[in-house]
Amino acid sequence: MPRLKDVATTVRSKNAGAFLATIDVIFKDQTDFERFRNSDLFGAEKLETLLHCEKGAVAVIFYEKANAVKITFPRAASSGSLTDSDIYGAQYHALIMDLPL
Amino acid sequence: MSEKRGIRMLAVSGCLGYGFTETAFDAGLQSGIDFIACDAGSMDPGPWYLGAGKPYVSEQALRRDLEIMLAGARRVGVPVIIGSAGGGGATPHVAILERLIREIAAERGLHFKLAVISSVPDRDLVAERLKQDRIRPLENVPPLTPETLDQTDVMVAMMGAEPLQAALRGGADVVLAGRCSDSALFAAIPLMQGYPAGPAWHLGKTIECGGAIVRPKIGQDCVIGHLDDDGFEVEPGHPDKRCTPESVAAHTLYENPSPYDFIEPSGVVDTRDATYTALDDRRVRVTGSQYNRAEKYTVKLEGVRCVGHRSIMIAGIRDSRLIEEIHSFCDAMNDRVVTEARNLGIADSDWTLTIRRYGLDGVLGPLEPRRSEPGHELGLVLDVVGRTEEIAASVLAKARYIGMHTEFKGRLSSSGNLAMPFSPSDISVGSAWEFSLWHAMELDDPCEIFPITFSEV
Repeated sequence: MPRLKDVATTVRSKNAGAFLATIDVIFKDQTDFERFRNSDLFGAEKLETLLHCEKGAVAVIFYEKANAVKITFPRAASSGSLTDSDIYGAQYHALIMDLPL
Repeated sequence: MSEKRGIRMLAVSGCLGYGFTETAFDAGLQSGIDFIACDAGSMDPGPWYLGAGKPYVSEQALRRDLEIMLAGARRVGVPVIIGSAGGGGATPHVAILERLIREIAAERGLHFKLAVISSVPDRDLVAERLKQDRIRPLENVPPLTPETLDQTDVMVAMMGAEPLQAALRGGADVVLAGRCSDSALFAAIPLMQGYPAGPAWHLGKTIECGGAIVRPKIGQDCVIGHLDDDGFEVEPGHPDKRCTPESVAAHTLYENPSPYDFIEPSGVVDTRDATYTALDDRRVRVTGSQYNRAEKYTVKLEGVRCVGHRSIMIAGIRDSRLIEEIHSFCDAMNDRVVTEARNLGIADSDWTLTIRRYGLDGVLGPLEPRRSEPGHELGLVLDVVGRTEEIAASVLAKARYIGMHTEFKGRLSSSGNLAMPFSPSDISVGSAWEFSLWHAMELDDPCEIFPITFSEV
C-alpha cells in the first residue's frame, strides 16, 4: 500500500508564528490532489487524534492553485520554551508522511 | 488605453547574511530597478536571539551581503531598505547593523542619508493600551496580563509600511528598520506612488523570502519584482534560474497559517482570486490579489522573558538492557535528581530538568506514536534550566552522576550507564528564554511607536 510520502512531492512542516505549526502537502498534479482531497487522510477527526489537539483546533485548507493541502494546528509548547523539542517546527510532517493511503 | 506605469524592485536575499550570487545581483541592478530591499530577521530561530540581543547569522556574513548591497545601490543611485535589523530588530540588533553600515561606508567612501527606525515600544504605553483593552492575543496565545508584561524582558513591535515611508519622505537613501513586516519593505515605495494595495502587498509577500520561489532551489539568491497597475511579475535575478506559476503559488503556503490571508498592520492581503501565469520559461505574472483594509491599525508585539540559565549534557546509550528499561530509568533519574537538589538546598522551583531521549521520542515528544519502539541506541540530552548559572551547573552535575550510576532492572553495567563524547561533559549554554508576548496592539497612528533618527553618513 502506498504511503503519503510515495505520492506527494512535498511534505514539510514549519512554524506559523511561535505558537502554531503548519504542515504543507503538495501533490505533483491535480489528479493526485483531487484523489486525496476527499480521502480520510485529511479528515479533521483523524488529524486531531494524530496531532493530540482539541476538537476544532486543527485547520485543514485545500489549496487548488498549488495542488496542496495545508494543516495548521496549535503547538503544545511555544517555539523554544522549556519543553519544546523543535524550535522551527521542522519535523512535525513526519507524523503524516508514513500514513498509508 | 493609458500608458502602463511600472516600478521594479530587487529582493536581495531571503535574509540578510544568507547570501546571494553577485551574478544575480548585478543582473538585477542592470535591469533597471527603482529600489533594493532585504529582510534581515525572523522570530523563527526561537526566543533566545531576541532576548540575548544577538543576530542569528554571523557578522562576517552580514558584512558581505551589506557591502555588495550598499555599494551597488550607491552605484545606480537607488534607495535601500532593510527590515528586522539584526534578526530580532531590538536595540542591540539594530546597533550591530548600523555599526556595520557605517564601517562599510567609511571603508568604501560611500555617502548617503541614513534613517534608523526603532521598533522598541515604550513599556508604559503598552501597559496603558493593555488597560484600555486594546491588546489581543494572537492564535493559541493566552491573553496578556500586567504580570506577563512585567516579566517580559525584551519586546519589539512589528512596523508596517508607514514608518518606512516617513523615513523615505525624510530623504533617506538607506533605511534601517527594527522589527518590520517583511512585505512592507517592498510595498512601502509602491504604495507611496499610488500603486494598488493588493498586488503591492502580495508582491512583497512573494519576494521577501528571496530565492524561495526560484528553481532550482539551491541556496539563496536575488529576485526581481515588477509591479504595474494591474498586477505584478517576478523573475529570478540569476539568468540560469526560473520561476514557475507553481513555485510562486506554492510560496503562499510557506510559514503561514493560511495560503489566502496575510495579515499586515493596516489590513489583510487576500490571494483567493489571484492567478499565476507563466510569461515565459522564467517569469510569472500574478493578478487578482486584493487588500482589505483593517478597521483598526494593529502591530504585532513580540516579547521574551528570561527563564534562567541553561546547562546541558549529551550522552549515548547502547546497553540493550538499559534501553528496555528506559522509561522507568528516566523516572528514577528524575526522582533522584529532585532529592539530591534538595539536599544541596536548591528549591524545586529554582530549576527544571528535561531528559531528551533521541532515538525514542526526542523529536516529536508526546506526539510520537512509536515511542515504545526504540532503536539499538539512544541519545540522551540532559537539559537543566536553573534560576542562576550556579544552580543550573549544580543540578546538571547531579543529573550527570545520577544518569551514570542509577540502577535499573537487569543492570550489568555497574561502572556506568552513559557514553559521553565530550570532556567537559557539562556545557553551559547561557541564558534561556521563552516567548511571553505574541499579541496585536492597536495604534492611534502607524508611526507613533517607531521613532526615526536621520544622519548623514
